[in-house]
Amino acid sequence: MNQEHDYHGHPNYVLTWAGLVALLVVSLAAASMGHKGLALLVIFGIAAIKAGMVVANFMHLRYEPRLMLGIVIFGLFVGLAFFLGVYPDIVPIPAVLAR
Amino acid sequence: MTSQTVPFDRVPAGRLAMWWVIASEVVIFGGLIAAYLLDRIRHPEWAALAQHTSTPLGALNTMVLLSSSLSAVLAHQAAQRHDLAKVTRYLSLTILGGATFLVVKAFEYSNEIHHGFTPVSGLFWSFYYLMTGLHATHVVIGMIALFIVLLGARKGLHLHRVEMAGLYWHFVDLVWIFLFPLLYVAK
Repeated sequence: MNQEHDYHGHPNYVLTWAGLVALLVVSLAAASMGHKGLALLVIFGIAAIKAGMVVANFMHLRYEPRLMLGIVIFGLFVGLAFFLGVYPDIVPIPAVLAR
Repeated sequence: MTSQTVPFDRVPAGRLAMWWVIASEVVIFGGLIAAYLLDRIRHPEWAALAQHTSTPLGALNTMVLLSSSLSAVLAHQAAQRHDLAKVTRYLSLTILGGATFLVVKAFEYSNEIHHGFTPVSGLFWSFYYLMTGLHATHVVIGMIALFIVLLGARKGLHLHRVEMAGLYWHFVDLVWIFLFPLLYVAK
């Protein structure tokens, strides 16, 4: 293997996996919470944390130059721009807010 | 991040190319998920339809993909150490994880279709089959890529490709991390 590939380290992968499984259990437990809005916040918050753990530790993005992170953020930004741009056409805005 | 210590020109071309692929895939799945979210906000009644997706099977598949991601990254670590036996073992486990995922998904599809929930049963089910179907297609592509890499890696050839195929596989896992709460948990 070429030496140039070796600049990133190897975090504890098994510990990362255990953390991901623990978060999966927490998110399943959160689904049964009485407050639906809070449950959704917890569920999707946990999904974001899990995604961050996979990207940082399994995909080693934490060791890459910031520009690499920028490439991924650009993709996310395009998705967000689509969401916000189309939102007023798809989701009816309450008359009170539209005035 | 420790990124400021690594200049951009030290990033291997293959790895950079794979991240470009992943960024373009983020746009594809991001657009699809955004479209689903918009319609989900517009149709609160979809929560009742989501009751028909199997959370236990979705959770099982999440476990399977998380575990296959672990074996993929362990294969990458073994490749850096030139431990060919471990590379072969971990890549095989990753492919097995993908196959298990597809079997569980096929069982789910069969059960849902048996109950009358097909891709033309309504917009929710159209989104469900499109998103999970596109994801399953990526799983199949990932398995093929991993298998091709495995054929070379077990002989010690092109070991850097283990990382590239692994990056793609982690992305497949990443997409599922969001599809699972969207389609199975948020009810």
